[in-house]
Amino acid sequence: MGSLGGTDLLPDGPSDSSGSAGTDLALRLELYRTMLLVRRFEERVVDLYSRAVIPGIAHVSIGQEAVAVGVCSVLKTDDYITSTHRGHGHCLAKGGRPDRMFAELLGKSEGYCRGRGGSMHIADPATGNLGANAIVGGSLAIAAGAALTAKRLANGKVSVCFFGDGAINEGLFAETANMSALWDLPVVFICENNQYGEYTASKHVTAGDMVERGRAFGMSSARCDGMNVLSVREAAKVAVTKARAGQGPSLLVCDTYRYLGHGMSDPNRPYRTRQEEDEWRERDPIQNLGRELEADGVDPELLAELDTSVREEIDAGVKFAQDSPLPSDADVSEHVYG
Amino acid sequence: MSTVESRSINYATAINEALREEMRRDQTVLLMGEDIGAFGGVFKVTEGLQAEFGADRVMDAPISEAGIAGLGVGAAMAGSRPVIEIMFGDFLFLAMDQLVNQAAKVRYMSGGAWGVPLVVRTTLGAGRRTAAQHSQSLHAMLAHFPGLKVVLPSNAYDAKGMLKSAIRDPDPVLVFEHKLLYRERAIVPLGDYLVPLGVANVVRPGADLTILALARMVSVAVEAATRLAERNIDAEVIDLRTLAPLDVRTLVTSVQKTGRCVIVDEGHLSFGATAEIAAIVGHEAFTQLRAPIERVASLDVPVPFSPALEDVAVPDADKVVRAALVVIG
Amino acid sequence: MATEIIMPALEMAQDSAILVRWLKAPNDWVEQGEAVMEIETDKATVEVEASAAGVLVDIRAAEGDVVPVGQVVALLIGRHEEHSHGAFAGSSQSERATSGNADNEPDVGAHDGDDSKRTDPGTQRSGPRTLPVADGVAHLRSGNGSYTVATLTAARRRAGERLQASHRDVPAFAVSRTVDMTEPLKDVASHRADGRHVSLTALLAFAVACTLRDHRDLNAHIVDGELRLHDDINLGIAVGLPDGLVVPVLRGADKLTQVELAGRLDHLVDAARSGHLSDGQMGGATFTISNLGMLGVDEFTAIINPPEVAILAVGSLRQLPMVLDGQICIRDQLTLTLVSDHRAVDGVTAARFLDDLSQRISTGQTRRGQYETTNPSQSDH
Repeated sequence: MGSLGGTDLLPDGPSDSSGSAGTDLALRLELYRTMLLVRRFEERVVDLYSRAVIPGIAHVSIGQEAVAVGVCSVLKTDDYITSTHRGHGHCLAKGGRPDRMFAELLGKSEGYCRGRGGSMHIADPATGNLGANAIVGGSLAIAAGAALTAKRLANGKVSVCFFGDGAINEGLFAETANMSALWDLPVVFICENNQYGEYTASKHVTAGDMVERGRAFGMSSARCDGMNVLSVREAAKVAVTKARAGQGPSLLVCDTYRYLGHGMSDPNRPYRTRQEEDEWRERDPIQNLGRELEADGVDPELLAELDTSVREEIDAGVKFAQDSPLPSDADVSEHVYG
Repeated sequence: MSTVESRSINYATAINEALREEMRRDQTVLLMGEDIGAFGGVFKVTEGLQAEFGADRVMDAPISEAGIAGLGVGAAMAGSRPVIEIMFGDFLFLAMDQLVNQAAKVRYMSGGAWGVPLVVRTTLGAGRRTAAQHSQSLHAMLAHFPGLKVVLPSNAYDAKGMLKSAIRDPDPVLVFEHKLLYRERAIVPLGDYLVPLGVANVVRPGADLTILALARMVSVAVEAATRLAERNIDAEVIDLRTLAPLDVRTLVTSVQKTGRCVIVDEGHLSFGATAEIAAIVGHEAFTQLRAPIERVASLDVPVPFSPALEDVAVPDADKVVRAALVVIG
Repeated sequence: MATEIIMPALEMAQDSAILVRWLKAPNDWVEQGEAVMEIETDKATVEVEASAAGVLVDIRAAEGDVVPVGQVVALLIGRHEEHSHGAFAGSSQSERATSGNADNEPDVGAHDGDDSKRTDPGTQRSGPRTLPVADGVAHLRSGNGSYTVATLTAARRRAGERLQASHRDVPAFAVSRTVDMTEPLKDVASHRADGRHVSLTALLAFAVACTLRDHRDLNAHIVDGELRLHDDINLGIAVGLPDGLVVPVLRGADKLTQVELAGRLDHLVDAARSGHLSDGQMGGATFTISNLGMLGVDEFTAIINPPEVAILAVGSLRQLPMVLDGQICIRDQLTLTLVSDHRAVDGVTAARFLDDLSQRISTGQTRRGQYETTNPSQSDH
């Protein structure tokens, strides 16, 4: 593979022809490393935020890595994604660079958005990242619109919308699902169900079954284990292949969990029990993939080296960000209009 | 010398022509709205377009303003030039998050990484007895948001030229078409021409006072100017054409010359376009002003249904004349 | 490698927070995700969880300190591989601290007043201490056998110093009286029948407040040799918590009706148990009551809280035989012990106060004035 130290994307699409059972070791190591990259990035974000180095607010996705990494592993560089306020993982998994991401989080001019967006608006055209969104459900139709263009231009691109269990209750979901199904748009809706919309359990505010909401519009809909990166990858592969073949949109509900609070001012999560948290932590996607790799003969030293290299990448990213200059106030009005 | 053929066509036809020509010129232009395809649009603006360009380019959308606007944003970001229609300006509210939180801000929030070359065609204006939820003039509200452009063509010539400019503009542009103007005719060239955004038009030069107007109020102002001329008052009428970005230079130059200003707009008097323009004029032409600025706008009431009430609530030439006389003193 | 524990920023525009208390002690093993300290910002009191596992060392901030955001307050040392839970899943704290007990009567902590005979200060105490003990700390050995070190919190240390000074400097003496509680128990029952919760302690406090009005010498402070007889009667009520004693104060206790006093007392005790007593609710007591009755103590002598000059210790309710009208009968009784500072209070003064108080209690004088304030004319002062 030789790409352990870099931020290369995973091989586009399925990398073997033998189906899910024979997913090769190299692919799994890449998935492992990418999830680790997200995990270490997010841990660092928590640390930097608590030191008041990152201004504003930030929402981390620790625990949810398998969804972002599994889905993006079947996408091409120029496929589109839209992301959420909890979107650092999506950005990284799609090929975003930690250094430019940290720079953006610190409001520096070399950040992905020249410091104008921050955590909740990171975007990267080079990797098809249409942007994270601070409005819950705000990107649902944008993702479908990008798919519309892809279909019109017949360029074979697919558009993936990451959103959460909270967003599925926004009216825009119904409008977007309806039009996407009506017009067979090449869009895949990934509902990252982390069980809670902010501080409220989704089961208390969601009637019926989320998966059925896709089916209500005649959309192919499924559910998968969001704590297992290979399960996510397989399910996403089906949906993305379908979309790319012009067979229309899909809804994939991935059951996952965020270990930490909604944001940094939610350190104690009083609306959950520690027992519930411990139960989900048992299913940690990185830990479990690591155990599986070791059981398949991978040297634990290798995994430790991956961690070290990831940490070095994170450290370098933070240093880049800290050395980066702030935008000049003379530039405040730039980029309002084109 | 090449002659460009011009003929008298109405506002709706002029817009139809702009759309047709742009769609022929640029394959990425697509239309989306309610009843625009097969039906040709509730004001018949898009008649015949689906027949020429097909249903996947002139798309009949469900009644889903937020979805339509959002799809427009995403399609624009990914390389299309969508022209979406929000049937009545009053329905903009259903799409506000997509227009204001998304379209207006994508370029800035991404530091210029992405742009949204989206056009939103919608309507303004009262006078058809369709009551409060079908008669609002909301251009000032949208002009408040940095990142959006807001234009109000007052005649068929400007309608065609400005819509073409809007479609070619890299930023989201809201085109407010006045419902009562759709059947108004003007001399419009066949073929391609552009009317730039952000440039006002001096419709009637004058020396004694400046009347600034938007959309249908331009013709109201012209009528008022005619009546004022009978009293030997020479009014300069300026059609602002674009509300955001405002052509401050043209209108300030005029007021600096005349020293007197009346502003006419169909939005509500309070917190609307006339308030913003008056503030600018008051600041830039302060020493030249010889009288306070007069504003003629719709009353601060929801647009009434009964003809007796609706006509009172909306500006007319009489009110403009009265305001002018106050300013003249 | 060491992980820094820092005072975290929880939100924008927060530049410091108060370190309310440490939840782990030095040399404790801390799991990843386990709460290690409690902090207070303008908005909330929250627990801070450790971002990695390790042994807690190098504590650089004390309870009560206002710490700027981002400052390191301690370190966690240890290698990931050593701990069986691994570096990813971590674990979260599976127990929550419990507080208080379910009794209606306020809980009281233990004053070290049970040695009325002074012990030789040089005597060593053997056996385990009754302080909170950390898990996972290495057992240590000394010449006297093995032991574990239990850390005294800063609050406990401060209280200890004060009590030591009191014990050393104050010539304290005790007088006791056993009181018939039949009438007050009837009052409690009648209140309950009317749907009001009025505890026995509240009735006793009410009686004390009434009695202090006629015995001002005991509602006093000694400060630098000066005896200050206070106009206001502020009763301190000792409340025992797992990590020490707190004394919330009923201000102007003589101006409250019995029902009002009972309500305020309940409120203070709740606040004390949930850790939400404000500075305004503590301090400034002119006389303190300490009740160990619900824990079965017959009688005890409490240590005076300086600069007060007296403290009343209340024992448990017992059924005892007594002689009434020449007949032996069994009555509910409890023993009150008044400990006074002999610099300000003579035996006679103490005895008269206790006599008056006992009469008031046993003859049901608590019932009188139930719906009036204890002070007949509030404009007295």
